[in-house]
Amino acid sequence: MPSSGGRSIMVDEWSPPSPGPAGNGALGDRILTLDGITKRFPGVVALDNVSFDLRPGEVHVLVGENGAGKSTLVKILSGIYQPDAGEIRLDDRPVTLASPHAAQVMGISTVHQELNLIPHLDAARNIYLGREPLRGALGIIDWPAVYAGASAQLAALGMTFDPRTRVRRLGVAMQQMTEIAKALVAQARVLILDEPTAAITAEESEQIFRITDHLKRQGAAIVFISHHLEDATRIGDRVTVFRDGRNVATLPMADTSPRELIRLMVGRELTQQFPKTTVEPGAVALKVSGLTRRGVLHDVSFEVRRGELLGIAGLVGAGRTEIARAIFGIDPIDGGTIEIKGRPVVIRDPASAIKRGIALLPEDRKQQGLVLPLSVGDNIAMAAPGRLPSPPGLVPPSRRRRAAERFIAALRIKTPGASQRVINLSGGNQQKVVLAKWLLTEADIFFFDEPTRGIDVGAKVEVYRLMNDLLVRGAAIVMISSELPEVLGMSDRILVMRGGRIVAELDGPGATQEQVMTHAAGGGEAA
Amino acid sequence: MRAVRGTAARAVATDAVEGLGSGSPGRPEMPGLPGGFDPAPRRRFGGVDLGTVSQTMGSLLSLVILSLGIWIAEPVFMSDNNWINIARQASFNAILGMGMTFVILTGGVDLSVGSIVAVSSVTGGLLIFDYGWNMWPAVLAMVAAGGLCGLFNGVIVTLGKIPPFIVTLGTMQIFRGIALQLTNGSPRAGIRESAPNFDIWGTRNFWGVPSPVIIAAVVFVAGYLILRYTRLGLYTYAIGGNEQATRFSGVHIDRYKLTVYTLMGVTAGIAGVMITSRLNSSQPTVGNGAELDAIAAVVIGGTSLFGGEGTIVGTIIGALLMAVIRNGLTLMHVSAFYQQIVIGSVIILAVLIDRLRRRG
Amino acid sequence: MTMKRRTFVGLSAALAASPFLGRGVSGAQDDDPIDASPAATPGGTPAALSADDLKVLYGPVQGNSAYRLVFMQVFPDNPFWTTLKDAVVARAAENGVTVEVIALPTTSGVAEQVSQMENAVTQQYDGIILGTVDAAGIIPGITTANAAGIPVLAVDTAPSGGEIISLVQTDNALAASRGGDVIAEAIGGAGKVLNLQGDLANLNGQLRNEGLHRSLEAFPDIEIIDQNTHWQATEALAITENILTSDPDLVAIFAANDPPALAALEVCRAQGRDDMVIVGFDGTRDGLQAVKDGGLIANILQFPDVMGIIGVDLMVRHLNGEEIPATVDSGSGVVTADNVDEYLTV
Repeated sequence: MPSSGGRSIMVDEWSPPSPGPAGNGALGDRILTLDGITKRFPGVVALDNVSFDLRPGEVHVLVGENGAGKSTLVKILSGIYQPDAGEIRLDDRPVTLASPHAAQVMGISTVHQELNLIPHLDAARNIYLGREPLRGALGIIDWPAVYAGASAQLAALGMTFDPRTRVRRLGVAMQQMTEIAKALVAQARVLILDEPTAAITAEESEQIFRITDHLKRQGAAIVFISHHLEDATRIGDRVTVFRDGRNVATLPMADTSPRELIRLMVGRELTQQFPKTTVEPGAVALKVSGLTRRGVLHDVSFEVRRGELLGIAGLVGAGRTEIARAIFGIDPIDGGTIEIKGRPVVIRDPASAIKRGIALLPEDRKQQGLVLPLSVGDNIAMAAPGRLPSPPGLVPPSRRRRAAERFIAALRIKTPGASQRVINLSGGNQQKVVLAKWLLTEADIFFFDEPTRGIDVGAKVEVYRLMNDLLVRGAAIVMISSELPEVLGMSDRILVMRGGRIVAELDGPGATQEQVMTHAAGGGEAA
Repeated sequence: MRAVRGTAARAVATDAVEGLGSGSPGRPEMPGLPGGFDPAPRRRFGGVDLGTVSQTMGSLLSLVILSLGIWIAEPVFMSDNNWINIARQASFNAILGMGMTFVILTGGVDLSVGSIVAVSSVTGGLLIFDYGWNMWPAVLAMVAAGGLCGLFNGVIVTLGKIPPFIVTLGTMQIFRGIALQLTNGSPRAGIRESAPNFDIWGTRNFWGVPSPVIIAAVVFVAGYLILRYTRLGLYTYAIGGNEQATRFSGVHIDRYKLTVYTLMGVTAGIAGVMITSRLNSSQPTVGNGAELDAIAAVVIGGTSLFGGEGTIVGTIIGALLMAVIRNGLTLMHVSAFYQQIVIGSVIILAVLIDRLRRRG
Repeated sequence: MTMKRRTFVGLSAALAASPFLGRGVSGAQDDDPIDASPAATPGGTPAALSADDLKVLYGPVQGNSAYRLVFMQVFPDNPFWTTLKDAVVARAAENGVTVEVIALPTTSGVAEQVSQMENAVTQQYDGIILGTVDAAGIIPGITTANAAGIPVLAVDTAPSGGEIISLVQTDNALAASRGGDVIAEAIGGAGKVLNLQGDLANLNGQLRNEGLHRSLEAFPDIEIIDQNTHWQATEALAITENILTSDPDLVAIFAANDPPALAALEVCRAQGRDDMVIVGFDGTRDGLQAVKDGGLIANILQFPDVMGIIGVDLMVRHLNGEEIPATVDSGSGVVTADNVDEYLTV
């Protein structure tokens, strides 16, 4: 609940502002004000005392690194999350956005990165979903009105496709237009576009820009979130930069540059939270040449040596996780070769990857790394039942427990015991269980995908130490991370990815966040 | 590095990351990982999973309370003979339920078990009456026929990537149709007259225990050992708990699913042998609706229909609970309609209690 | 094949016992529970039969070979219906007409059968011989046929609505009461009797239950214990075991169909209760064999084959433009050890 003194307005008490110049006020009126918004998750402060305002007729761009707090803010504005502290004011009235529905009723519509359309319904029905015009005493849906209205809305957006087309047959850009049309039907005064240009072509982006232009001239306020700084500087009127859950600056777009934005986005000191141990690299452990997966990875080549930590940086969707999935045998590859310790190998599935000493600590621990209802012991034993000293085919619980207890002690996993269910462990300890699973397989090539996501600061350092230990013992590590400081602080070398390609290779110790971000966001090839 | 694996396997016992081998230079003492490790083996920490225990205790408690209630209303309920009856009557459902527990633990379901029982029964009838087979080979063929049906389910589920509910909804019809077609719909009575000793599977007692109870006990011991001590058991839980994570751990999911469905078929085949012996006849209509009873026993026993959680002990208790209800109500001459109402209510109550327990 | 032989035995039994009393005169012989022995009244024809009935009774009737009939079969896994179906197919061939069999899978309900009937109407058969799972539920199917002008003749079960040209069935209540009479006599009119009911959601199940009660309730010293098997042998196993526990003084068991009777017999044998008086119903081969072996004291016999034969004959006569009786009892008989050999022709 917002902690302001006055009572905030709930959705059922909401009445639209008095008709008239709703959005036509002079620039400077505020539609939406956020005051001191704080949102905490277990172990993480996602938004720390964020204040922010939105004026009618402006495009307000939000930029920041992954995890800087932008998505959390979007989720609060669209009613998905409730802030732990702070106040949201709409037309200077405090409001509670208790649900996505409430936010919509109050005139805030969000076009999320993952679109919320019903694929089997046509565009018109999606646009009017939940607010179908009714006719007669029986409340029969007035379908002709639905289709006429949808046509008109789409035409206003410059779209020519038939509103009777099923949404799943529309391209991403068309689907976005459908979402925007839906927001217009809902009479949105605040339109939030979350990464609208991430998955569409340049030409389609132009269309989006034209529409945002058009809408703001009609008095709507648009929040535009983008990783593409060039896009952002082009259409934004103002920009707010997020870093570590805070808004570090709000500037008129005209007064800034992509270069300054990058500096603001990453501008923090590297602290001593990265206990990097440098090991003299040994022989090449893994060599990848020309790895290609159509539409996802393009001609990816790299190698990693024993005792070396190779960091892979890039924005979400740049193809980092996909490299790990392809090498681990989860996704099939269309081309390229993989060599392990100098010998070419074919990896068909995770089992054959594991047999060759590869381990994957996936980004989504709970969905991909662990079987949550099972015990710590069972999770650790899972990938390497053959390594338990027991007859073939058998994995006696006592052996599982004993193996697990070794790792519980060695990795300092905080759990009442090996038979504790993994679901009851904290994020850091869960990550250690995943690591223990791979240690039992005697893996020596480790892919850590977002190794410290959702882990509190203290536990992060422990994870880094464990990585160091692995390096010292001759393991090769590939670390995929969206946290730049982590990449810079732990890597011996850094690969930067964009659009499924490796666009830069940087020396770990020498690299700067600006360099990495420039390559990752495409802010300037020359930098 | 691989070359040193042989020694590393032992070394794992003393050092968490020993498996990495000794290829790295120096091997300094590390802060994160103590090189040596408490040699004194620790006693088990948490012991048995408390969740499982309380779950089983819950259904066991219902069983006890229900039994006491029936006892008060109908004293003959507590007689030795009646308990022997109950055990015998629970056996059929318990055997099917144990196979079903495996399937449900993987997050699947098998609706075709009743029809597989019929295929097994009919196979026995055909081989004994029409082909003059002896008891032992016929019994093996009946169990094998069940296993084949299960294998077929497994193949379609894994290769076809079709949800088990749909696959077995289809094979429920297919297998029943096969059983009816093979016999032209007619039962064949007098199995033990044609194949001497066939009654050892259903009607005889050994050491005072009815043979169906002994069969169920053997299946139980086998099922319990498999779930607790083998990879198959571990992966049965793991697949149901999180199929993706299990696959990412290098487990050949399909192989284990195939095995689980085949095992289900084998238990249905065994149940077919048992019921054929008990009825002293081979019946293409036998087992109609048995799949729902089996699923009910599993669910009452506390196994989650989403997979990953549950025990075979719970299933036994579930089957007993259902048999006790039917037995008690019959002893009290309550009509079958009420029996259905009561059993239906118990299924819902069992799941409701389970949900409350989880929330609590 | 044994089926075929039984067909003729059954027919001759029916002929001799003359259960066809057509046009509402059924029941004339209620006071005289027949043995259904083919030899009982050799060649004789009770006076109650009309000339029309005799035409029905004697010999095949030649139909137009263009007649296309359809037989809607239910419970294809049940011997009773298998026999009935075989008789329909054989008699149609003898009569020179074609018949198509559409069987309703046991797991399907009446809704599916209504669809089957609608399809049959679409295919423009000349006549529908209908066995149904649900007397009330099938009405929409019948009215569809009525609307299309296709005659419907019901066998075994009377639909509770729609127009049918004739109904050929066993008087189930009468047949069951004959079973009750046998039991009452065997136990001397006193003791506990377990009634293994069929499915009470089914008309025949209800009628057999009523018939048994009608017979036994005349004896104040008989206590009836009703339990429902849903026609299933497996359910009968558990019920019998449980009732023997709660009521060890049980003296007789009546089952509304044969598989439960045989299951009850297995239980009694296993518990050493060879003295139990058990009466089955349906006259399946296994049920008759059990009578011969002494396990069942009697079995109530229906004549599904007669039902099928008369059904086809009446339909063909109707299509030929003849008048046919509105209801025909296809007869029932009590088979005991004395006459079982006449039916058990293995």
